[in-house]
Amino acid sequence: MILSGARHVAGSVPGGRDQGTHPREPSRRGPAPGTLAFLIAALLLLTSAVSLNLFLGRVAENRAFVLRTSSILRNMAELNVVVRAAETGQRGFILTGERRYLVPYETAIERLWAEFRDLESAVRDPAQIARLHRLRPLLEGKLAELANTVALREQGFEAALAVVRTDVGQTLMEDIQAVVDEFEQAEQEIMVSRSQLLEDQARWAARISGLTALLAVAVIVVGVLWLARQRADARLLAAERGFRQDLERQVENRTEELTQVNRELDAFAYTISHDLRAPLRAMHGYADALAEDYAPKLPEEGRRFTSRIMAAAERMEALIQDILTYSRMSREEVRVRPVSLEEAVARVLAHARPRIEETGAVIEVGHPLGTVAAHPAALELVLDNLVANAVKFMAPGETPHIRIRSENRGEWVRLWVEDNGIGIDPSHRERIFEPFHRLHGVETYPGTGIGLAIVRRSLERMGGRCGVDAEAGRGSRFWIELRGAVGEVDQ
Amino acid sequence: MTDGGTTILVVEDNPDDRDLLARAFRKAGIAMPLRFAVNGEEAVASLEGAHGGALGASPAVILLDLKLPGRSGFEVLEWIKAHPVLRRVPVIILTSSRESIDLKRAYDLGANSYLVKPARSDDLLRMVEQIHAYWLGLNQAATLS
Repeated sequence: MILSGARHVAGSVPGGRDQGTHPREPSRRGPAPGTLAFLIAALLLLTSAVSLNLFLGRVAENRAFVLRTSSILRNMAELNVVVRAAETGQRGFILTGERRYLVPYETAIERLWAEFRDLESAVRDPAQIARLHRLRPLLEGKLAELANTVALREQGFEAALAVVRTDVGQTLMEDIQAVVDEFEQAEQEIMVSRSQLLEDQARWAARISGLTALLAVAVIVVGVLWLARQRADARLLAAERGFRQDLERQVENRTEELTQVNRELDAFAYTISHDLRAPLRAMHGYADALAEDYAPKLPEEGRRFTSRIMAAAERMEALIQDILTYSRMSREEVRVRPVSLEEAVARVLAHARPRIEETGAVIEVGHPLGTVAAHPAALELVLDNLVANAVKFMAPGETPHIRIRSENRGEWVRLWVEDNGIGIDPSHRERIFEPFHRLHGVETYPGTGIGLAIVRRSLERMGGRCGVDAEAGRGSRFWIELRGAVGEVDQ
Repeated sequence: MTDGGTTILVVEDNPDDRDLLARAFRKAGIAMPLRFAVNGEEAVASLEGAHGGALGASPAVILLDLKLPGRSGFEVLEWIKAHPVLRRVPVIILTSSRESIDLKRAYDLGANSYLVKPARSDDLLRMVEQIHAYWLGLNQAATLS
């Protein structure tokens, strides 16, 4: 029918645009590796920056150390010079007895301890500190010897010379020189090793800063790529959003069109039910009146024509009725609730009693039948059609024997309507559920060809299904399936 | 105290349906006179005239088609059910529509019964007999004063 065609259009709208959702996939997956790479690069950059900073700190430290070491060396050299200047002054005074020679001596004495204190505060190395400790008594001894000789020279040259000749001063001077040499050498070594370290560190710092620069470049590159990717993704998203809106608009328009078509179909059905039936009723009514009021005056053939008019009108009435039922079943709201199959079958059999009695049909119902989720009126329409078919499609002379039973199939309840009629060729099994599909001539088995289409549509609307197990000549076994229902069956 | 109406008002635009209905009433042997209105305006005018004039001409029951030219059956029904006195007259919808939207609307507007026109004349006869038996016999009508 027209309506099912419209439904196909409705079905193809979302289906045909399915690929619309696919472009989303890459854009969803995209940012993750980019972000990860960016994070790793940034982390590496940060690590190298921190380690570069540490290295530079160490380099500065070592540089300060090396500077201190050289200042210590200078200090020690100064101390050495001061000691020698003091001795030179003493010698000059002893030889000449002139006091002017004592001036450098006295200056030297003043400076000596100042220099020594400077050294003591600068030196950190334990071995060097020990050397300074050894140096202090030697210097004290030397200063005492110098002071002694200078004092003796005040009394006379000989006495002073005698002390000088003891070589005590000379020995002290040699010892001092030895310690000073030792100290200087050790300090030199410290300086050399530290310089080596400083050089190494400077090299490493240079390497790390090179690496940092490379990483910075890499981060910039990755960042730029990432941003470009983000922008591309944003563009893609915008395009997708636009596409979706477009699609929604299309669906809206299509829905609007379909609603319009449905309204027109409603109007069409309404027109059929009123306008088409009115002349039909007149045809039927007047033919009836003719037969009832003037039958005796009509010749045999006239009576036959009248009855043919009535039969044709009846067929057309049934056809319109079935088309309207089918269309109503497609359009109207169908809400399911628990329905007792026992009661539905009982009502349908009561309704079909005239036909059953007319044919002498034997109906056997296998109790209990159970409860299903259905729409009572739609379910009765289905059962009515199935029972009517079972009674109707009989070989001439046969008595219909109909069996109604149900079985539980998981969450479904399957109701069987089985007969001993003419059956259905398996090749027609599916087609009999299509509207207007007839297997037999109207003369043999009257009907509109819509009954089973109504059955299928009704079941579809109730969320169920139907089918047939049949073989030609061995009866038909129609079945319907609806979801089993638990709970109150309200009337 | 005056009794209810004494006629049957049939609001029907189709001459064939009027004709066949009249025949069915005749065949059923119903003596109460039938009055016809062929559209909504005529129905309203007829009811107003009947109510304003002799009460004896008021209808005992109204058979109302829904699809009428001009003022529709629903509008006529609405008018009747808004009338202070005539709303007590039973209104039987007699139509060819089984559409649930029509059924709902008719009952919502206060229709007393809803019948679908039968195609066969013997079915029509049976229906007329039952209308007679129930609405003009069994059913207790209110007075129209």
